[in-house]
Amino acid sequence: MTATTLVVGLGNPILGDDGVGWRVAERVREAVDDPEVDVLCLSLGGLSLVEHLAGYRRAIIVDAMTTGAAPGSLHRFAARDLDELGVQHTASVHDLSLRSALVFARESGLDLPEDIRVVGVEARPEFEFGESLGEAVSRAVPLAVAAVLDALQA
Amino acid sequence: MQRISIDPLTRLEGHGKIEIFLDDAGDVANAYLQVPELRGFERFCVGRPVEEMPTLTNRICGVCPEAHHMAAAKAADAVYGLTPPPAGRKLRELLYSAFFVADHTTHFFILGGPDFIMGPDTPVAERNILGVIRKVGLEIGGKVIQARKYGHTTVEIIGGRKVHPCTAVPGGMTKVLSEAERQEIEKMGRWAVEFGQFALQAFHDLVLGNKDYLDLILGDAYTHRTYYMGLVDANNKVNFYDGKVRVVGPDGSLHGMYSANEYTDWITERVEPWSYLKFPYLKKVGWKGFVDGPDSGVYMATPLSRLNVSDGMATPLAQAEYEKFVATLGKPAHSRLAIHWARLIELLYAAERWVELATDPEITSPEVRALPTNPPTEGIGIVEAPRGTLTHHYRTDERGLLSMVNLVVGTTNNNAAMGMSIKKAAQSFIKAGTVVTEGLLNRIEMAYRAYDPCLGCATHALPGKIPLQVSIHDATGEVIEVLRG
Repeated sequence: MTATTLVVGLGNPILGDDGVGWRVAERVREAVDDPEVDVLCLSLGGLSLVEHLAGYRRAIIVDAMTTGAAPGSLHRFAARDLDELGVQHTASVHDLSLRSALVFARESGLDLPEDIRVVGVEARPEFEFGESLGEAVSRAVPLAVAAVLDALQA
Repeated sequence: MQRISIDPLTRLEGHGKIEIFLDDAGDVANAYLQVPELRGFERFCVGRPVEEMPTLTNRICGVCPEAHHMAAAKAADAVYGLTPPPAGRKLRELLYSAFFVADHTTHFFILGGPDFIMGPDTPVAERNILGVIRKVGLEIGGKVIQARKYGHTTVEIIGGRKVHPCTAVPGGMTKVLSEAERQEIEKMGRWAVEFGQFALQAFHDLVLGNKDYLDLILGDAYTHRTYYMGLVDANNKVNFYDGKVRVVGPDGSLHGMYSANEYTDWITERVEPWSYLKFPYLKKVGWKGFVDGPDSGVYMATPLSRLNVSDGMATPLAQAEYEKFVATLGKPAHSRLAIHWARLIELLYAAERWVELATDPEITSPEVRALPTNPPTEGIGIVEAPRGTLTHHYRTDERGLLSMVNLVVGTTNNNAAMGMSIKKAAQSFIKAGTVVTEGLLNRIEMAYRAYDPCLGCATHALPGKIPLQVSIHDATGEVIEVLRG
């Protein structure tokens, strides 16, 4: 592997607003021409997500979130600032919270990035199958792409 | 009436909520498992080409995409009347065996096992894999990561991409296995066999070797006498990918065996006003409510069910473990906590099968796909998902565009049985005057956690936080106390 940075779009691409992470990641993939940066679209958080981060120096995770804010609002934070369970799929109870998964995987010997950031897009609280995003979330896509590109410059 | 809700469930795949209703005396009157269903998937599929289904259905949920990929491919085979050539069929089963190893590993060590390894009353902050590696040693964590990695790598090699496999198509597979890939897969499979033995040894030492846990497993609080369901091969051995569905009664006698295309003769679904998720039951027995016994059509489809309906395992190491299992628990085994043991026996079987298929002389054959010649019509595909029998049923028009889609997913089979288990555990552990503690609620959660429920197919709308939250309501619905794990 030559790339040192991983951008992950997280979510389910056929579940309405939940697909926003993939949409953002796909645009980032088109916008970034850098062998140092890999872009992946994934569906699971927790340990499954963390396993994909192994070997990279830094990671940026894009996901839908439901915190109660207005749909389309952007959230930006570092993984180390997460409380036990914070983000939509990164908090999937499929296995572990993102934070627990990071601790477990590090202790078990996985080489994980120190620098993990999350860009969240507030989704509508109800999800329904469909390939398109809601209007508010759609409008937030270019902003989220810009937030990822900013983070890549940092 | 008092109401206690456990919301949302911890360490459950997808989200649900347990509601416990107390009567005026403070005893448990009733308990329900509620699932916020994610609607519209079947409608979403109608009008699409049937050959898209293997890649589309595996996006229903990220947890068991491989199971949906396989069931969809088999249903699409049937829609075109195709039988995949031997190498195509074997590649599918090889991918599927590696998936089972990764999935069962995750469940035992991360979701279900910590209750036993740490103890059911250990605070939630330590009753997890982090507690396990601190107690048992770091080595176990490295092995769990490795087992998952080898499983995922094998799925990726055969399935064509990292997460959601895409190579199973109507009539077989699109990708031939090279000799170099075969060797790599064989090596990983051999490691997985050793890991499967290690996992069972850990279970013997840490769980069966502890009298308290053995008593818990054998105790009445977690026991139900119901029907059992699972796929078996031509020799009545457990099979995950193919065969006939075998159903036995609470006394172990044969209720019947059916092929995929007969499932509507055997299974039907009941709707309850308080649940979005339907309740499948055995049509020929009938619905008698949420009760045990030979007259109730409630059945279970889990690793334990598969062991109960079969004559054993098709591989030698797993068969030896199966014999120990039957000698300890009898047959059929009714304790729901024994599902954990059965799951580890299946893990070992899946690993052995992985090696058998990886060393099969036909596995690198270039003949992996039969091409359609007949017009598409209707087809049903059945596989065993890790958490239960999975049925996909499609009907198309003459162009192969879907006009009807029906899925009976693994967890849904167990909807009635899980509800009964929760109620029984609640009634066993909460009596009038009981102080409701976190450990006590965890013992109720253990009742359904054993089933490895994945509500991901049914729901995806996750709330932002996942603590164990318990709200106790008084008779008027007022919240009088909130406990957080």
